[in-house]
Amino acid sequence: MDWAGFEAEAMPHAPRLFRLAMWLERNRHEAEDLVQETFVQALQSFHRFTPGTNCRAWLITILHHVRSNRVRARQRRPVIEDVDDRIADTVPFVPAIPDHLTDEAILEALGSIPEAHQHVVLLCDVEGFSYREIADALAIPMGTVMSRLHRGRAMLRQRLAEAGGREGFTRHRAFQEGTP
Amino acid sequence: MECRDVRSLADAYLSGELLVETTQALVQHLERCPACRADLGSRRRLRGALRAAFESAPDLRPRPEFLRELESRLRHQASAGQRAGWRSWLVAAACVALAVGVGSGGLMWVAERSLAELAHLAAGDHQNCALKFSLPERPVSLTEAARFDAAFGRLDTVALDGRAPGGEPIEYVERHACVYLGQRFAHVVVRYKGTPVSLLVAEQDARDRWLWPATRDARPVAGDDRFSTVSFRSADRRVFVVSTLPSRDVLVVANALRAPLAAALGGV
Repeated sequence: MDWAGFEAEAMPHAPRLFRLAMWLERNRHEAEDLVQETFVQALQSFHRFTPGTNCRAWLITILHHVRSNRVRARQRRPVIEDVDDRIADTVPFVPAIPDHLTDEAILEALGSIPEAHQHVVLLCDVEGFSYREIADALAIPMGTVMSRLHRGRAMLRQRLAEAGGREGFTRHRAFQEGTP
Repeated sequence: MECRDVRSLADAYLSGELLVETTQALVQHLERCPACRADLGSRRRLRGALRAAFESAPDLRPRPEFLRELESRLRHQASAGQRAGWRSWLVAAACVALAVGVGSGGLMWVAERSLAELAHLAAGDHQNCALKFSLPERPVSLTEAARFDAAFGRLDTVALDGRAPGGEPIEYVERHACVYLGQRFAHVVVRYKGTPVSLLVAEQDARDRWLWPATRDARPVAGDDRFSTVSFRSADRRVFVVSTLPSRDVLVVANALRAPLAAALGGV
């Protein structure tokens, strides 16, 4: 096994993978177990990784595969149901989001949208993956990625607009103009 | 391009997913439309805020001890795998030397070590595929795997259920081709006495013909302490039968399904 290559290429992504695992599992012990199993399998398969390609996307693909297998084995039903058929285009016009938002409000709003939509929004807007990389990681069609992104972002903006109208803010995150 | 079009394409534009021509049209619209510029700015700020909130949330941070333990475990696994790899090379080299000057007794001893290593891989495949459904590489159909080993394709249609001598049913569950630690197997899962049993046919290796003795009887082999493993040869393929059942029950399954397996593999 090429430990030196794995250590240089894959290990630096461990903290970031843990963040994603912790968000998905909402339990530190389960998240650590998931990340550990992901890296064990990644090390075993590292000879199949193509140097120069997106290692973080490769690791997250393994993580989602490990997680979906675990849940399938426990529940004997699909992990992520096809929610697109159930959530029709009923998301209303979304007003502009408030300029001042707390980190907690942002993450609470993200956590309140369906899990299937959370996944694609996280992988696109936080991890910066392409639509193709997201489709491969979650083993879903690209059309489904685009549909869930569109609806997920619309729902997120809706939740944030509602939160901005409902609560005052005691502290805010200042926005930087030109922040990507 | 109208404002309605820009709003529907704005997120794809920020993700860099638009065609060049569409991007140009969108940018031209933004140059003359302050409302769409404001909307795009709002979306861009939300992305940045979401990323920043996610990356700084204290509850999502890993424990430093966990990261150290993870690296330590992986480093140990890598060095153990390195030693196993070297052992395989030493076995292959030893086989060449033994084949030249030593009798069949010596070759049998070297062959048993290789058989044990392959049996260990078969046990690992049973655990990670049949029991945990957690292999990094997705299984494929046996027909699809025929491009690697033609015999795999022939296994896709043979009936693989039966009865034990005592009358207990051996129920077919499913079949596919999968890979564990670089070793490809044709994998058939059956159920006997309510317990999953894996029949694993190793992808044919050119070393097999002269490395392993031509014993065709099913016999227990040392694979993994958690499972009972039985092995036999059929048409130059090494077959492993693995389960948590006692060895005598695994032998029953092996002997009950040898004939249909052999018919598909082209052996006796």
